[in-house]
Amino acid sequence: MTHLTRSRILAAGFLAAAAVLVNLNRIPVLAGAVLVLFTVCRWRGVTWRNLARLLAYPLFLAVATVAILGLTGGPPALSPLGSAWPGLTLSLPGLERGLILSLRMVAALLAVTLLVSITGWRGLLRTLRHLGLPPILTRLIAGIVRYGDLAYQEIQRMQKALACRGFRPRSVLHSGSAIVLGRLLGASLLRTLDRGERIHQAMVARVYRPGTGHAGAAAGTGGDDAADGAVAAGRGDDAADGAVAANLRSGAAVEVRDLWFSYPGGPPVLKGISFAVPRGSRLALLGPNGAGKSTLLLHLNGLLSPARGEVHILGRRLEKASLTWARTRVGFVFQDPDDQVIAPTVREDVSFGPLQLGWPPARMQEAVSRALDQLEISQLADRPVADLSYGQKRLVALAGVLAMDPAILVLDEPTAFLDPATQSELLAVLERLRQVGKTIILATHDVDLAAAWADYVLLLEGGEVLASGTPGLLADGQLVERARLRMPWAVSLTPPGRDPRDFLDEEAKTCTFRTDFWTPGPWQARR
Amino acid sequence: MHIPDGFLDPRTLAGTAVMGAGAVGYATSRLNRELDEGRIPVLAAMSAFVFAAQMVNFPIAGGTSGHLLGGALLTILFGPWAACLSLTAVLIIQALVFGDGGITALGANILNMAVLGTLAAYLTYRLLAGRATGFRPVATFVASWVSVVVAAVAAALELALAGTLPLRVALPAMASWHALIGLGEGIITTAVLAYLARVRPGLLGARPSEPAKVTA
Repeated sequence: MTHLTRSRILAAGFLAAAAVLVNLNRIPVLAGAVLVLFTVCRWRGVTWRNLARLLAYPLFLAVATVAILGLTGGPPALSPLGSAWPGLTLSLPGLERGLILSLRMVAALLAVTLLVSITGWRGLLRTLRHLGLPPILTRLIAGIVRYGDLAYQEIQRMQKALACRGFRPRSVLHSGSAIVLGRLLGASLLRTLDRGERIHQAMVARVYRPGTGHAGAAAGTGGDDAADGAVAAGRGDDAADGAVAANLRSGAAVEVRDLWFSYPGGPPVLKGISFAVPRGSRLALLGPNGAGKSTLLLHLNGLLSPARGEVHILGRRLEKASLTWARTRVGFVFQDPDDQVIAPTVREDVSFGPLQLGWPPARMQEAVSRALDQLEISQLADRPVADLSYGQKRLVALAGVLAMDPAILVLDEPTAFLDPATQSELLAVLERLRQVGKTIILATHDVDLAAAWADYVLLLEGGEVLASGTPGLLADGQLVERARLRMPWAVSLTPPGRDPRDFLDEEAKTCTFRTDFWTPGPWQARR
Repeated sequence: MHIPDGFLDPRTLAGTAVMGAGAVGYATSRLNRELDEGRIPVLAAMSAFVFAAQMVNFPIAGGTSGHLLGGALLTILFGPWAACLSLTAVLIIQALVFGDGGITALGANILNMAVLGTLAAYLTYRLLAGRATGFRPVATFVASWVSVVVAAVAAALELALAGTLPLRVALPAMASWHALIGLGEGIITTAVLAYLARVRPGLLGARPSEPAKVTA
């Protein structure tokens, strides 16, 4: 039985049941129905707590209904308070009617709870889709499902922060409270709006083609397949010799020439940036907050385009015609995984990129499995994204990017907010990827990470390149101070008589990459 | 003011469902024309915001508390079609996942809140503020109040049509109660827009088809 048939049967059955329930007019029958539904719900495992939560407001409504109808529903018959309040009379037909309505409401609510416990509300949404819910509504609903809780948690955190500053909410009719509440909701609205923009950006980075979405596999969109083929042939993933960057021009994975950029109406944020990244190497982009790191990275897959200057990816210039191609070659992992991982389940999100590219289902599934295996998160494949930890979401974001098998990986502050164990796991993953020849560029302020991991380091400050070269340059005190960074701890272990710069370079080159920062490395061993 | 299951008779349920579906269908086609499909993620995020904002309770008077409906807010910021669809999505989730409002009554609730409420807000705002961009406190307040009251009146009419409550009971009860709630909606919506007007003035007058200015 296909999903569609099952959905239709379920919907028809439910509508029939609803029609019956809504027409029941006899209290004993309704009461019986409520009892039966209640028992079945309990039998299906709905907890007392959930039932209580569901029924709290309806019960209040029921009392109100009975009261209102009792007071107004017909000829007065009862005087419950007798002589104490002779004016208060209740009518029997009114009370009866109120009771019927209340029972109907409770019965219907229990029926829906039962339905949801059988199909799950995701199943219900699927049913609605099958029954012809417009796609745009499906996507809005998906947005609420994915981000509604997040948005609410943000508001709660802001409320707590307000409470810490002594704010106690008084009636909204007080201007003070109203203003604060306006700011609270306004700020939350802006945060959500900006998040929406970033989500859009992340989707574009994964070659978002409006109209494909998740509603079935798209018909193979021809488009850039020719370019893809040509590049795939040459792609080869020759593991470049990262240390010897002789003729960078032809061997460069990424080349940036005299890049200038400013946001609309603002001062230049990037001023004449030039550098080249050899294939297969590891570049760390370092710099203080506001230096332009993220802005620079966003140029590498064409999400931003320069006011002046050029970006070359794998020897090909980045311009309008080559944007889609570039985004399949350059995988971008954003700072906040919540901006990037948008689908309800892990598998659906990882397959987003291949779906946009119009790959046939077999190829798509293979790519998804491969990406999940590479990151060793295959066991998370069918989990809802909302249940994952921050570190897990990071890995899913990376998997989603890997599914398109890019040659170059760009990561914006990948270790931020991760606990040390997860950081190690992430770096181990990056090392595995490097070993299959991928070029990796990451932005960070962690100088120790840069020193231990990178082949090359690029220091950015105030939109300009302060210095570039091997990690040894981080041993220059004046330089790191200008860059508002610090020297890596390893410099303090330089043996007397050695040049710290050489020491740092040598350790970075000779120490086998440590995936576990706790085991003693050559630095600690030398003490 | 979500109408639960069992309060409306089949005739009213069917009628409101048809009208609601038709109106939402129309809003969809209008929005598809206006909105660049690539901007849907932004609208989806906004729907998530409205959903979250509706869960924030604020005290009104005595022990009562209320929450923002958000229809007028969305309408003023993003236009009536976007607001209608966002609210529809929110109502669907609320009915399916939280049992807030009946499923059979979903058509009626959508008609009242997502269609009539936003339409009333839009027309009122246009009437009072014309096509001017920028913050208009009086128009905002009145439009928000009207959206709540209109939705409530529609619900009362439906209850009366269905024979659940006589009109002479339903209308005064719903209208007066929601006139008070409308005050809260008006105050909060105005406060939010006042804040936005100061912090990101470009937002008032932008549409989802235009990228809002993202601070660098």
